[in-house]
Amino acid sequence: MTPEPALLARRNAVERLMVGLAWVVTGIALGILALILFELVIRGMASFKLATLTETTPAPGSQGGLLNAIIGSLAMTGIAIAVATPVAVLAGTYLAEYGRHSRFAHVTRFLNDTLLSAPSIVIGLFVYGLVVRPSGHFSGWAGALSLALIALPVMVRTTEDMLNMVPDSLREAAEALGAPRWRMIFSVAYRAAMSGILTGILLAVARISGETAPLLFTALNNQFMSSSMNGPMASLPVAIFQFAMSPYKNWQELAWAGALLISVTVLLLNIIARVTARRGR
Amino acid sequence: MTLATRDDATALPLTEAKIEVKHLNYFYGQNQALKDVSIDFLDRRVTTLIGPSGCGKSTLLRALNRISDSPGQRAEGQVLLEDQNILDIKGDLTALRARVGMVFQKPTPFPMSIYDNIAFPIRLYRRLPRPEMDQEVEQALRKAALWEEVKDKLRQSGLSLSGGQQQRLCIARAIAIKPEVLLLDEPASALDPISTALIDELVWELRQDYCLIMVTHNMQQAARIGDYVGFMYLGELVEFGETEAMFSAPKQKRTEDYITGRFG
Repeated sequence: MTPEPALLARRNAVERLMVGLAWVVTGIALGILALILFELVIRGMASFKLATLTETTPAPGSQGGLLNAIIGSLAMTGIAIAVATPVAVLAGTYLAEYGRHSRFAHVTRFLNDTLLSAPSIVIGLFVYGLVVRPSGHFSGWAGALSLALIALPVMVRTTEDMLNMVPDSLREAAEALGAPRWRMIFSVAYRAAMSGILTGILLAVARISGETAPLLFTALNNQFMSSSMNGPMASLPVAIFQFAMSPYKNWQELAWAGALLISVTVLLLNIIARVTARRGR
Repeated sequence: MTLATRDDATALPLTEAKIEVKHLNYFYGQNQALKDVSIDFLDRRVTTLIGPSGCGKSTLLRALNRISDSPGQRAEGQVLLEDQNILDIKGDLTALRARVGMVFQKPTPFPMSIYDNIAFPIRLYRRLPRPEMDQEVEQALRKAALWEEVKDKLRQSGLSLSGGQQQRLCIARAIAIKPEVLLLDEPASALDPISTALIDELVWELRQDYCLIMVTHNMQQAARIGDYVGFMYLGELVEFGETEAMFSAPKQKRTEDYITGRFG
């Protein structure tokens, strides 16, 4: 049956309109992103100096850098990931390999999703009540704990998803050879899902290295160089927040430099994650 | 390629049953997948199981090494592996799996090197020094007629092989632990004709050492390489006998209809 010319013309017109709309909307979204990045790179590069990486935060009006904030961020992010990763990988393994369709697994999955979407400020308040109030002071440990709680559900989810992508036929094949379940998981399932699980960890690092709200209630901030996790600790996001809100020009400039630094780091982590994921395929 | 001719079958030494299935009933929940199946699988022979989809042939095969049995499944009767009823084994099935190996429909190479694919099962049972492990790996690959093709790339991923090579890798992996019985669940159905021919030839070779049981949809394959054939339908073993006899003069009407392609 040949279609009526009028019908065909109408269909083509609608098609062109819809595709056009999609282009426009995509353009707007990308344009806004480009504007933000452009502004960030211009202003950030202008304020970025070697001193940004080598000196500690200055008093208003004097020169300095972000070294204490960078070190604080590295320490808290590092500890948070080191604590959260084993717990998350084991929990994800339970959900994918042992729990599967059990009631307990369903409940755990639901709670994990809830934690995943909990506002990060709530996590900060929780750790404030759990650690900061009882101990009587802000600390790097409390900051690391709140970051760990944010990273945890992300990694539980990715670990489970990645293990779910390992075909059951591989599990059955290992079982048929007489391999015990744990041996199958370590030698076969983890190996098959390795790049995906690593990608999840990297994405969690990217996610928590930009978190501000949970640190405000836990690690607070520190004007001075401090490598002690027991006291208040500076971090890049909080330093940016503090300096950007200040009336002092040199602080505002440091905030731009810090914002550039953190954005580039997160971008790099995302790229590494993608490359890792692709190589695993 | 040249397959040994049928006459060889009579030249093989007489053997006895490796696995005796007696009055086996098998249930998935309310569903009865096997109905009073009794069959003997002879050592050093190839027995093929044929029948339309859902007839229970895969269920029967999987019951023989109790792969993936779960709480919803229930078996009655006996599956005797040299006088031990394997349905009675509680808990650890490792010893059973060491004696009854299995190869699946889709090749399942593990995401590791060709060498490690073969060494993995061996390491489950033995701690061998490197030279001996090398020897075991080579031997298994030779038996699976894969050695010549992979001897220079043992460190490459098992996933880098072609589908037919992957399946022979899986057969090598299964025989690396020297089982007594080898179960084959449509091992060639996902392969091209040349790979299928290679697998057929391999199965024919392996029957000198093992009790082989193969599920297949391919009637020519069953006729070519089976010493015995069982025809299953709706959970029952309709007919069982020597391949030649059954394909030339089936006793049951349903068998005849199936092998002549009138249904299934």
